[in-house]
Amino acid sequence: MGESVDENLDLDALRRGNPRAFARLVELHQPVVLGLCQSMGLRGADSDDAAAEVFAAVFRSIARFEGRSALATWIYRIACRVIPKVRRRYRAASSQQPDETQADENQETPLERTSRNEINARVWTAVESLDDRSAIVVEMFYRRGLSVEQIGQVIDCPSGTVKTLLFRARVRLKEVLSRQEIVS
Amino acid sequence: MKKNNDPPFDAELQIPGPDDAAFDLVLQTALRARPEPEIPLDLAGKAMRLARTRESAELQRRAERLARQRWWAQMTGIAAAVLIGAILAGAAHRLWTRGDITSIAAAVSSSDSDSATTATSTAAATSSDDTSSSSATTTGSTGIVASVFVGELLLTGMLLASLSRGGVPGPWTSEAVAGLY
Repeated sequence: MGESVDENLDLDALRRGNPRAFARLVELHQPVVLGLCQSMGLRGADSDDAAAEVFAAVFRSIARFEGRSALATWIYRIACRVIPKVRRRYRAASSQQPDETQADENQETPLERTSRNEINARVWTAVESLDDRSAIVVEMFYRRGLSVEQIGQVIDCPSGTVKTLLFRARVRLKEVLSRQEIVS
Repeated sequence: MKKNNDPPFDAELQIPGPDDAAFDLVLQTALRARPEPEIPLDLAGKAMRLARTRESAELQRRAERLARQRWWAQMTGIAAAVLIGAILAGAAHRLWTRGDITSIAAAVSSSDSDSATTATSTAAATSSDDTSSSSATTTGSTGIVASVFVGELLLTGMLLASLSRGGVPGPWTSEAVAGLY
């Protein structure tokens, strides 16, 4: 029987490039990967393309996965390397049109009509404006509930660095949100 | 004045105050309330197609690089052969102008006649010891030069023959060259 990793995935089948096993892996991990894309300000087709690039990288290098860390951690590590690259590429290609689309989206979204939802939307936008690493750390810590140690494994740095990144991200977010009078 | 956003030295050890706890709650609530992005159709299929496209592009790039390296290896082999040829031609020219080649020919012809007259010349040889020893030394050195010359000629021939078949002998194969990069 093939080596089994977390989430009942057959690692041998994955290494052989079995499409069914790979589809299962994608199904399990796409919400978090797409969430990371979302937190870094990628939307719609851009977000799908970035996620596809992440899973393409996973597909190409799964044969080299040694199982020293959890498969999820390994996939998120790839995501943290690939998504910022895609983000930079799209930013360079479409020189900052997201502001407009975001404003439109904010006007059109029904969530904006209530103050709670407005606060939420502003927090999301503020997180998207952070640098890549800070956005990843905030997304994983506050949204996905990963521990500092787990995040450290994903972004390949010590826990102390993760804490520092979180601290800086909080300071930056507080600054942005105070300017908008969301927090005092 | 620019505000310094750097954390204090022991920032990670700081215990968050009530403000921080409230702000953390705002962040957590807002981020967890964010709707999950729409799952695209057949993301796995798209990713596999993308991976295969990248793989084939990578293979093509690698093949092109290998061909380029093979071309360079062949050019290097040809240059080496030309260089060896030039060295041999120079050496042959020097041997010719110094008269060594004629002395080799003379030594060969004299050794033939020597073998025929060995018995009769034994007595005469005792009287001319000095002359025969010096001629033997000359014959020995020209013999060494001649064998080196013939050896190099053979090596060049082998190299050229190998090049004409499209390969490079010894360690200068394209794979070995590719390993250098």
